[in-house]
Formats: sequence, C-alpha cells, structure tokens
Amino acid sequence: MAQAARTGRALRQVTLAALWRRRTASILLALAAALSVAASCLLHGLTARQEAAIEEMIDSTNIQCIVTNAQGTGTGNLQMVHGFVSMLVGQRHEQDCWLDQYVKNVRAKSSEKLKTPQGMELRRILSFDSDSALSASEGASVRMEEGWTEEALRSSGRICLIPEGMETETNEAGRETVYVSMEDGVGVELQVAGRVSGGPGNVIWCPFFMARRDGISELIWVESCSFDIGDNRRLEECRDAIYDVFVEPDPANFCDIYTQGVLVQDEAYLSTLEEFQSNLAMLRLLLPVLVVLCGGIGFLAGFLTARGRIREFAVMRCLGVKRRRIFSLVLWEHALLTAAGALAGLLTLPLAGELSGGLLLRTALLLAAYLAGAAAAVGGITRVNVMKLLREEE
Amino acid sequence: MNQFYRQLTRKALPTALLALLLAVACAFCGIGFSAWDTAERQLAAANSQYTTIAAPKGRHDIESETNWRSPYFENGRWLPLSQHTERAYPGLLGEEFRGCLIAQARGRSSLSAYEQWDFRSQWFDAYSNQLAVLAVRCIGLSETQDSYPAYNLDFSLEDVVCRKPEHDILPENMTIFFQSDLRAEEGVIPFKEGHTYLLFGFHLGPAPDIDLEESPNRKEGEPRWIIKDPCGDRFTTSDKTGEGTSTYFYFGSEYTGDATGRNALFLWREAQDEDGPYYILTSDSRPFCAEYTGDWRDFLESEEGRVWREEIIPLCQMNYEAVNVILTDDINTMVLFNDGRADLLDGRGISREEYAAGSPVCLVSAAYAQKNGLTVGDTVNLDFYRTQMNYKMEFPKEQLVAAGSKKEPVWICDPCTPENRLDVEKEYTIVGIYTAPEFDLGWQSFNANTVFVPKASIPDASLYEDSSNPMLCAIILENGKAEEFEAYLESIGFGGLFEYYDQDYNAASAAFAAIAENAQRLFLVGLGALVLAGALFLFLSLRRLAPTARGMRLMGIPAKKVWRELWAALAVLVLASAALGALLGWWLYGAVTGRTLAAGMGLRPEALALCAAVQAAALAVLAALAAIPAARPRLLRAGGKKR
Repeated sequence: MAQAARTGRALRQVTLAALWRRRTASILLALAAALSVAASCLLHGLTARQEAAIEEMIDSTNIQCIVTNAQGTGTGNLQMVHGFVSMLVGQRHEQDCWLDQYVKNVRAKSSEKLKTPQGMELRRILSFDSDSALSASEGASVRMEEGWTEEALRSSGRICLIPEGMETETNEAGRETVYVSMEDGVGVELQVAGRVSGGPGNVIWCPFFMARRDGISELIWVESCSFDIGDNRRLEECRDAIYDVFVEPDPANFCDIYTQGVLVQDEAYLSTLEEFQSNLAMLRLLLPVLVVLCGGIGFLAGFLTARGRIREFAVMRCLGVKRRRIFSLVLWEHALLTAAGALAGLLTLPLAGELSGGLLLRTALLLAAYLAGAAAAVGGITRVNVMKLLREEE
Repeated sequence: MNQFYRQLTRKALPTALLALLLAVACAFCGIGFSAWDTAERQLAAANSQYTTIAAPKGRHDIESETNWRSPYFENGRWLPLSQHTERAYPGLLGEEFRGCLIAQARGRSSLSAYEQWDFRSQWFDAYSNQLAVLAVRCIGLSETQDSYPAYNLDFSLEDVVCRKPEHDILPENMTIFFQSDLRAEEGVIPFKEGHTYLLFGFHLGPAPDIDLEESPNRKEGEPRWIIKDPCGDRFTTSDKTGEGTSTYFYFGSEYTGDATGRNALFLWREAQDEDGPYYILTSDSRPFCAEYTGDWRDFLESEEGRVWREEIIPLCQMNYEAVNVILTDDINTMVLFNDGRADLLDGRGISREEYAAGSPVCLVSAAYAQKNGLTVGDTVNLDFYRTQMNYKMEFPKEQLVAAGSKKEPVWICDPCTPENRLDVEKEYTIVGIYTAPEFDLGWQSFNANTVFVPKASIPDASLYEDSSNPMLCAIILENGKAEEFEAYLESIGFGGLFEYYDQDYNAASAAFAAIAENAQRLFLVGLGALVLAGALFLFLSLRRLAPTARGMRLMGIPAKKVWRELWAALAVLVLASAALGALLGWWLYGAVTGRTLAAGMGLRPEALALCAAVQAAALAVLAALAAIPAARPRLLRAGGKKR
C-alpha cells in the first residue's frame, strides 16, 4: 500500500516535471482553457444582459388598444355607453367582471354642451391623455392647483380643469369654483383643481365619473376610449379577456351601443420581441457550438502534447506502469493545466456580470468538453502497442 | 518542389492539426462576424418598426404671428433643417413635408359628418359637402354702415335645388342668414324683400345637439337641433318639422381687401360710387345668386338658368364625391398614426418601394370604404385638384376672448373647381384600410374622407407641400435621439416648439442597445481568437520550418527565394484553413440560425465568404511578414538553440 503511494507520488512528480519541461506547451494549454472559460463568461454575460433588456422591454412597453365601433370604421365618435369604461376601470366586480385586471391606463372622453357657461362644453376625462386637446402637440399644458393631481380625474369628485383666464367664483368655503349647467337644466358647482393654458378656451374638463346628482346614476355617452394591455407577459390571456367584452372590428359586425370593437396594437411589439428573442435563442445555441469547439481544442492539445511523449510512455509501460495509469497521469496533467487556466479565465468574470449557478454549470461543461477531447486524444496515443513501437524505434 | 511544403507534408498530422486549429479560429471569427451581421440586420428590421418624429406643436398663439418662432429660417431664408449649413441637428434623418390636394373620386360618395351623427363642429363638412344651390325667398334686408357697407339678408327656404343628400336630415322649414358686401352694378344690393332667388355657396348647417329626450315633434332617432343665430346670442330649439330654424350661408374665404379678390368659387373687383367703394363680381365669375319667378325648375330650363344648370349644379355634385388627398412619403410620420390613434384595420401600409416609385396605391379610411363598398384590392379613380388647406377656429364667447383662448381647429380644404384642376387623373389601388376618428378637432386631425397616396405618384408633388401646416410636416429623427435634438434646439433658442413621438421605442431601446453591443463583443472575441490562433499557427509552423530555411540559406539559396517558398507553403495552409473555417462556420452557424431565425435573417453566405476572404488575406499578409525574419536567419550563429 505504502509502496503504491510512493509510486503514485513519484509519478505525479514526473508529471509536474514534464509540465515544467514543456512549459511553453503547458502555458499554451492553460491559455486555451482560460480562453474557453473567458468565452463562457462572455457568452453568459451577453445572454444575461440581453435577457434583462428583453424583460425590461416587456415590462415597459405599453401595448395600446383602441376602442372602435363594432365595424372598426371609427374611433372618435363612438357613442358608447359608459358601462364599458366602468368595466375597464374595475367598477363592475359585483357583476363578476374583472376586466380591469387585464388592462391599465384607461383613457376615455365624453363631451356635452353646457347651458352655463354659455357656448362652452364639459368634457369628462379619466386622465390628461384622454383628450388630445390637452396634449402638448395641440399646444396645451395643464397646471394642477396645489393638493391636486391627475389622479383626481379618476374619482367621481366635483372638480374641474378650466381654461387659463376663465372667470371663477369663490364659494363660502373659500374655494374657487365654476358653476356649470347642462342642457337638461341640472347644474353643479365644480371646484377648480387645475388650469389649462394653450388649449381650447371653450372647454371645461371634469372627472369622467363626476356625479352631477347624489345617488342618481346617469348615462354617459363615451366619445373615445383607449387603454393599454395590463400585463404584456399575459398578452394572450389579456386579449381573450378583452374580447370577452369587446369584439374584433369587422365590417360584417352589426353596430349598436352595446357592441364595441377593440384594436390591439401589438404588431410592432410582437415583431420586435420576436427579433430579440430569436437573437437570444441564437446566443443560447452558441454554447453548444462553443462546447464542440472546446472539445476539438482539447483533442488537439492532448494529441500534440502526448504524441511527443510516446517513447516516454513506452518506457513507463516497460517499467510496469499500467496503461490506465499512464492515461490517468496524462489526463491529470491536462486537468491541472485546465484548472489553472480556468482560474485565470475566471478573472474575466466581470464580463459575465455576476457569478451564478448557470455560469458555473456552463464553465464546467466547457471544461468537461475540453478534458473529454484531451482524454480521447491521450487515450488513442497511450493505447499504442509498446512492442511495435520499440521495434519501429530500432 | 517547394522544400517547405515537402517538410510540412512529411509530418502531415501536426500540420493538419495546426491547420485545423486555425480553421476552428477562422470558423469562430466567421461565426462572430455572421452574428454581428445578423444582429445588425435584426436591429435594422426591428428599428424600422419604429419611427421617431418631431411634430410642430399646435399654434394657439397664432394671432401673434410676429412672435411665432421657427428654426427653419437661416440667414433670413426659409430652408428645411436638413439644408441648413450653419447648424448640425443631432439625430436628424430627414423631413417630411406632405402635400395636400383634393380629388374627385368618381362614383364614390364622400362621407358627411351628418351621417355619422357628429355635430360637434359645423365645419366638419366644409367645404365640398356644404356646396349647395338653394331656392330661397328674401324675408329681411338690412344694411350695415362700414367702410365697405355690407348687408344682412334673411331668407326662407323655398326648396332645395342641389345639396349633399346626407344633409337632407336638416329641418325643412328653416331660415337662412346671409351677409355680404357684394353688390350689383352701381352699388345696388342684388336682393329685394319678397323676391325669390337661387343662392349658390356654402350652406353651414345648424349646430344640433343629440340627446335622448323625447320631443313631441321629433321622430325617433332624429337629432334635436339647437340653432345658433349668428346675429345674437339667442338660442332656439327646433326639430325637422319645426319653425324658426336659422342657418348660415357664406362664401368661404374672407375678402382679400385688394382691388380684386377671389375665393374658391367667385371673383370680384372693387368699384366706386358716390357713397363709397363696394365689391362687384367680375364678368368671368360665377353668379352667387339669380332672381327667378315661378318655379325654379322653369328658370333652370331657360337660357338665363343655363350657367346654373350646366355649370353650378354639376360643380356641386362633383364636390359631393370629393376626397382630401394627402401626399406622403411615410404615413408613420403623421402624429395620429405614430401615437396609435389611427391604425391599419385591413391590408397593409404603403411600402418604402411604393413610396419611392410613386406607385398608384392608396390607403382609405374604414368609414369611407364601408360607405362605398370598397375593400383592399379595389381601385379608386382620383381626378386631382389643387386646394388650399386652411383651418377654422372660432372665437369662443365672452370672457374667453379676453383670455386669448380659442376653440379647437378643424382643417378644411377648398372645393374642386375647374379652375384648379390639375389634369392628373389616376387609378389607385387600395392596399390598406385605416381606422381613425372620422371627424375630429385638433391640429393633427384629419377626417375620414382623407386618402393617403405616395407623394411621388403626383408630378411636381413638392408644389403642393405646405410647411406652415403642423399636420403636413414632421421632422424624422434617428430612434432614441429625440432628447438630444430637443436639447440642441433649446441651445439655439428654439426649444419647446416640437412634440416628440417614438411609437414607444424608448421601452425597447435598452434591448436594442444590448443586441448591438453583444453583437459587437461577439465579433471582437472572434477576432481575438483568430489573432491568437493565427499567432500560434505561425509561431509553431515557423519553428518547425526554421531549420529547413537555415539549411537552404547555408546552401546559398537567396533569401528572397527562401522567403517566397516559405510564404507559398504557409499561404497554402492559411488559405486551406480559411476555406475550411468558412465551411465549418457555415455549417455550425447555419445550423444554429436555421433553428432560431426567420429565413430572411439567417446566415448570409456572402457575408461569411467576405469574412473568410478577409481572414485569408490578413493571414496571408501576416504569414508573409512573419516569413521575412525566418528566411533571413543569422547564418554566423551556430544552430538555432543554445546548447
């Protein structure tokens, strides 16, 4: 037992001596291993970065859906009952409608002419971008009064945005108000929550669900409506949920106030995502290619180094060392060099971003491929018949 | 025979293995290059899905024209930004100046806001759909005293001679208000109370309001009309059978104030009498009125009524088939298409090739297509007329005027008339049907009668561009450069003039950047691997061949010949490796991309061949350079190694 251990130690010393003797080749072999690890780190880093970017894109892209009439012929004068908007913002949970869980950023607009102030119009909106007249492209800008935010437009409060310069009144509570009355004569006092400059001067904006009379639900005719997909990762699910309530616009559809179409504008998003994902798949598939290359390089390295030592192996065989032992010794050399190279290669870890299980697995796979290649080459060489070799040498 | 080549082939295995190493490196570099090439094409394809534009903001401060800032002026001359010589705008790709024409689409009826039950603005149907010939009776006349004395007229409607059929929902018994300062010879007002006339011009319908309240006289579904009296603030409500409905009849454009003037329909000149100046229609102008007695049909049959019968009424009917045509080079540069308020419902957009070639293809609105039974693939005959696109924006009442605020604008086009016919008539194939608000207010809104055609499909299309119309111009920017562009404009004093739209490119920009950088890194790594393998190859090969070179030189063979033979032997190996590497790369990468990418995005053999050729050339040059010292060994030194 002790003899075997001593022999093993001696052989390992021979191995180390051989490594030192062929130091150029050793450095080259270690370098090859280091390059493999570096390549693995790089590939991992590239893939991880791209995955993160795609995730970010999926999360931050807004897929817009535009409500049209059932035939898809118009989006601006829908004459849609406000029940659809109620469903979109989650006011119909009691009716088991959970559409709000599939959509976000609902925009809706409704207009009605006012009797007071004369010649003006009241627009119900859910957000600033519900009405293009409030957009910067139309030259408008909104300034909210202190304590108010855009979120107030989603409430049913009696507040309003008025054109800059419009006369207001101050009520008993000291609040700035505007009195509006509709064609039916019902009037309401709206507290001024913001001012619009650069926009139309004949419009007063109020929350979409602003209640004119307490306890009385009124029908609101929606002029235009749009929203975004709630969760792009569940796009298909969201589409299904949307089309449970709306229809796909089709000229063959019958138009009535209860049937509205929706156009999901996901074309650019889907095609961009497809491009990105195919690029990612390509990166992922480059790993097997790298594994094959590593295996090839390992084979080449093993062959080149072992071939020059064939007489050394023959002598060792003559001295009684078993073929398997020689094979394991040479492989041990390669493993040492590979390990040294791998450690050097791990210096390129910043390329990978961070150390992860996936990266270690990839690196291990590459090194295994490298060693397998080397083992195949060494195995072929150490299997040479000693007698035949010695005869040839004579 | 080449001694070096013999030397290399004598020990074929190491040579083959070295060549294989180089081939693998060549393959890796080729793969890197192909991945980079593919990623670039993918990026271009994905990038082309997005268009970033800068659209001029609305001009609510239009009344202060002198304050209107514009970056387009350079040295006092208006120039497109791309032609400015003293300024370099970051990210500027180009500019889109769209043209606008009006066209008669024979046999197709234009869409009216009336049939859409959209009465938010009386101008939605201006001007073509508002052309009308009405038989009226003068029931009131009054003169105003001004530098150009005008007169006000009230008419009762006797009969409709010619009107857009969709307007037949208007009340039957309505009064028509008309104001003019056009007179007959010697300054006489061409109307008398109680007389009957044919009146030609634009009929601005009343502004109705739809609600669901029941009214005793209104039939179900009919609008309830709220009529605005232009003379005062009196509002009356009526219905189709009611009394007292008042509407407005007008000429269109304002007078120019010159001695002569014109609008789309009429020509006039200034005349003078003892009471002062007045306007009178010129002899070559169409009449805007004609007195008749009895039945207007008899008048039309008479010689006097010939111009009405043969010119004016056909002109009205032609205009009921008029569509607005926008000449464009890219539909996505329009704000409504860019921000998603307008979108293709059926078919496809106009391709870049079609824009460039000016192909006779068009996009029509879904509402127009539905009204006329059009589908993708159908053709529309368009007979083009020059038009002036203008906006209508009324002042609101009372306190708002003081605040300088205005109502939202509506873009309107002059009607088709024989005088502005372009003599360009073409058959356009519908390739796509879009959906958008049929009629809408706003600087960027177009109506459903708008047809989009490639700009190049019309001769001298640039003549019809209108750079002052915010809907008809846009600046096209490199995706992701909007902020930089705006910052530059800000730095030269033109900040805040544009609004930017990028079709949500920003959300995808990180992924775009990741792909671009990844592809570059992959290629650089491949290049690095090739350099390393090439150096190893040359080092090992020359180490093997150095003794032979030394021997040849000792035998007196000239260094140049040794170098030539050495280089030839190495070049054969290098070329073989590059070729093998290209094949290996083609096989490996082709297999990968074949599984993951669309056919158009897969491996491009020409790109790989180019890469292999460059690799081979570079390695051959390196081999030639490396062979120089090997071919000139120091012959006086004993051996190659220290002993």
